Amino acid sequence: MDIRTAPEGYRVHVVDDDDSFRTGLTRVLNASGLKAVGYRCAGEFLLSDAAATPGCVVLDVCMPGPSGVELLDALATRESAPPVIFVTGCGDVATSVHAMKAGAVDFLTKPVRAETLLNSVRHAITIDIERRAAQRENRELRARYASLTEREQAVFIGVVRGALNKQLAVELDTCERTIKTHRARMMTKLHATSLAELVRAAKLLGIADVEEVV
Amino acid sequence: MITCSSNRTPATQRHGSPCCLVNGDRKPSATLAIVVPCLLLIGDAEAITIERLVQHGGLQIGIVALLVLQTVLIVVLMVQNHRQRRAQDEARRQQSEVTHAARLVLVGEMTASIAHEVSQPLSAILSNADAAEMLLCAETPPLGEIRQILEDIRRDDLRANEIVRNLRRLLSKRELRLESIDLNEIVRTSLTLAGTDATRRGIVLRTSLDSSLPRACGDPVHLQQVMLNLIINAMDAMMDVPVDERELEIATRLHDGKSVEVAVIDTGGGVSTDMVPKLFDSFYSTKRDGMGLGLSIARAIVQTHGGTIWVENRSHRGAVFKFTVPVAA
Repeated sequence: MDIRTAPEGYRVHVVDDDDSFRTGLTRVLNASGLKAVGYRCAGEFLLSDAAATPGCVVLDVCMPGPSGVELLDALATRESAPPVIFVTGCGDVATSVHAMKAGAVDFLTKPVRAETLLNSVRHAITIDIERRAAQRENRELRARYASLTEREQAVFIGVVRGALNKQLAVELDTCERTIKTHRARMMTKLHATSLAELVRAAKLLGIADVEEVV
Repeated sequence: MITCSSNRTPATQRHGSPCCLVNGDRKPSATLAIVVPCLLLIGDAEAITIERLVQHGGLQIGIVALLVLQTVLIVVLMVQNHRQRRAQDEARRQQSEVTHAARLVLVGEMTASIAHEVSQPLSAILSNADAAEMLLCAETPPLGEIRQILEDIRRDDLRANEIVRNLRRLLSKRELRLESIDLNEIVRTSLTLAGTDATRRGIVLRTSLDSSLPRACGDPVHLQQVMLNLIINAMDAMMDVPVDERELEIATRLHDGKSVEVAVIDTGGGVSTDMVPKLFDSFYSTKRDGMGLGLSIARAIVQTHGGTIWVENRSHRGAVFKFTVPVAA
């Protein structure tokens, strides 16, 4: 992704207690055309409500107060938290394993070359854009699913399970023609044009038994 | 170290010799002071006529015998004095070696923390240089910002340099040299070296330094060794308490008119009363892999400065290690 085409409002949040290093990193990011903001500690970052804004976080592991790993753990529980890149001067194996398991995108060691940092940040922003797009799609899908009537939902689940219209008609105690009508309406409401899309939607919605079908 | 004081003790007291003229002062002038009058006496004796020589023969022999005896005694005392001095020098040298070895161990324990402290400004320098290079590629480079970057690079360079300089001083082998020092400055330097370690262990650092503290008379390197020792001990003592309760405070104040006091306050488990008398002994340690030398050396250093070191338990939780150093004249 070309960083200059990054959507408006994207920020790189730099959290590091060392003033000089934080300023240095912020300068590199700003000079490359990104918008970077510095925070002295985990608390300052959390209070700023920046955790909910799109972009990524460049995080120091060792900080007074809550450590970088603790902040990552706190962010991991949020749905729309930006991805985290660790930058550390004292990283041991245990910390890096923990960080990667908790969902860190990258683990860089100080000193960080500008190129390495920018590649990592670009990658993280791409991940965030994709993640946010997926979340948006998921939200929309849920809204569409919620707009289905009870019957349409039953037909949806049945179709995804692989049941034929006839079988569904028996199951729902109605005629095949009505099932066809429900099915057509359901597909229009879900913006789906094929069975494959319905299955994908069911998977995204986490509807039971779909795994078996897929 | 402490034995230095015995240098000033008159030889008569040390050896119980009746020869009160020999005062143990190793200056040759003192010896001359005894020998010259004796020679004059001999000169006078030559002036005496031969007749009277017979009369005074017994006296002369007695005087000569006394002089010979005195000379022998002086020589013996000087040799003994020399040996004692050599032994004292040796003791001082060994004490200095042990102190230095302990300092090396101390710095060894803090290597990770120190490396981090050095790499931090170096990393900042690299990032700043990278940023400046990128900014220079712009059509109209923001010169003001680049100037600011260069200023920051210089500051970070000096910061890294200062840590390395302090480290070299700490690692150097040196005998105790008393000078006028700012104890607050020593506290701050020690915290710079131990700061990362504290952060890594989740310890909150606090200082309450008396800004009007008078200058003390001490050796900055040796006192920093004492400080680091107490700081590391305090941090170790807090490893068993929950992370959010780990606090280390360092306070300085005027102890009495004649000395300044440094207190290292932790929120660890405290010191049990039966441990207190043994705590400053050599080879006594409560740590699993401790050598039991840190506090005994700390005490030796403080005592050589003419100060005292002691421990108190806090009323609710933790211990306070305090030491005093005399105020500079």
